[in-house]
Amino acid sequence: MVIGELCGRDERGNVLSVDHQLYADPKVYEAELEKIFHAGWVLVGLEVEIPNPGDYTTTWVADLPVIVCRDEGGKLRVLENVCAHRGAMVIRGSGNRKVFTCIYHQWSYTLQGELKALPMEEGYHAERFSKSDYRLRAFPRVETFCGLIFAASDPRVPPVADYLGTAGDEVKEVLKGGALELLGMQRYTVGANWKLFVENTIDTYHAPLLHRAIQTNRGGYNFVPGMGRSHKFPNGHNMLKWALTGRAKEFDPRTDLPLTRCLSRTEGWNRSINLFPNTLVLNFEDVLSVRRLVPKGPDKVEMHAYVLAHKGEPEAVKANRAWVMASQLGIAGVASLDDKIAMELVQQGAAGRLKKTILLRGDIDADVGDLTEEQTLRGFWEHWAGVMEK
Amino acid sequence: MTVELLLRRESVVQYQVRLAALLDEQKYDDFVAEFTEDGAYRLIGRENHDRGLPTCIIDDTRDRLIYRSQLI
Repeated sequence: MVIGELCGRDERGNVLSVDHQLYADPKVYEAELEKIFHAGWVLVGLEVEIPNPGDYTTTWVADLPVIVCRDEGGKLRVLENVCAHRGAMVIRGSGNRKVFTCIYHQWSYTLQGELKALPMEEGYHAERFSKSDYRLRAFPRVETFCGLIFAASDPRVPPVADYLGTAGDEVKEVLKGGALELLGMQRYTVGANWKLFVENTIDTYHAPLLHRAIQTNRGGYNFVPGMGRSHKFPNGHNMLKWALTGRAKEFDPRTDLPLTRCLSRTEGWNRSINLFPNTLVLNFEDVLSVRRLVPKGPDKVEMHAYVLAHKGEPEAVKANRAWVMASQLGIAGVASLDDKIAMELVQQGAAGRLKKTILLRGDIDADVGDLTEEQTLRGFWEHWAGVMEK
Repeated sequence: MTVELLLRRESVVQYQVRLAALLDEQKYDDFVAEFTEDGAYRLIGRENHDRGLPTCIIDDTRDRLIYRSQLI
């Protein structure tokens, strides 16, 4: 099976349809781990999680447990959270430490992942054992961009700024250099393939159709042809962009869409940016959020959503950002709760093995269209197919 | 614990069960009617609560519960 061929492409390479099994087949998922998640750049966290030397947090790159930490010198490290002795996960949770000690036999590692000490070392014979042969495997490449921490398993990847390219310029507009404050996390699991979560976030065709809260909203967010932009960027990155529609002064709590309570600004742009593969940067009115996807098998994905503010913003703005995020785009939000159900319905439908789930809206040959076209989705899949065919 | 305290606790538990039953039975108007004007319905994850961070799962006033009930 050549996986890339399961995308239906025209003679110019535009992806016009995808086979439903690309969301469900374990063989496809295994190949994605090898070619995408354990190869190129993947988002592993945000600098705001670990601002000080010794700070660490633990997470996953798909199936692989990792430690994301800041060493004594302030340098970011991403280590496999797997003890070199018997393979136990070394630490859990987050905090601040000088060493990482495995609970099983108390082997301890430096913040750079080197084996520092082990109990009863004299019991190992020198001809068979050297401490320096054992360590936590470090990701060879770790770089940041506007406060986002990326790691790559393949040392040959280009610098992350080059990899992001034009999409990175748009991220800069949203995250303003990365001076961010964390207002909290939302973490939840969706019973759907990780690509369905990406697609849901970069598809506005569904927004006024699936979401009753948007259908019934007075003014704004009734996405219609001609409104906004759908962009396809190089390397599979993509973006939806439309003008701000916030109406803070009129907000009626009994009738209005949470998004329409906007305190931080009166003009500008909203953006939904996907950085291939697992990063989603959202700035809808007062929502400022990064969504990090962690695939957990072909039919399950974890969402780690960072709820953010810019540093130094007024308390009222911060409070509103947290409220709008939870009420609109959190797991119990009036949009994202519907999205979870829709994604899971597509996953359930994958048993039907539909050969062509279509991506035909708008101008197929253009890199830019309006919000109801699907340049975003085609751009994602065209890059995906290219990576999977390598 | 005195009998009086036990009875009071039992009445609170029974009330919580009744509220949960209203949601299970999808009687949303009746659920909202249990709230006073300044009542709030707040659900926050432990991770955020422990760190003093404001992000909730649900953070609704009575008016916002009315809003939600209209969407169903």
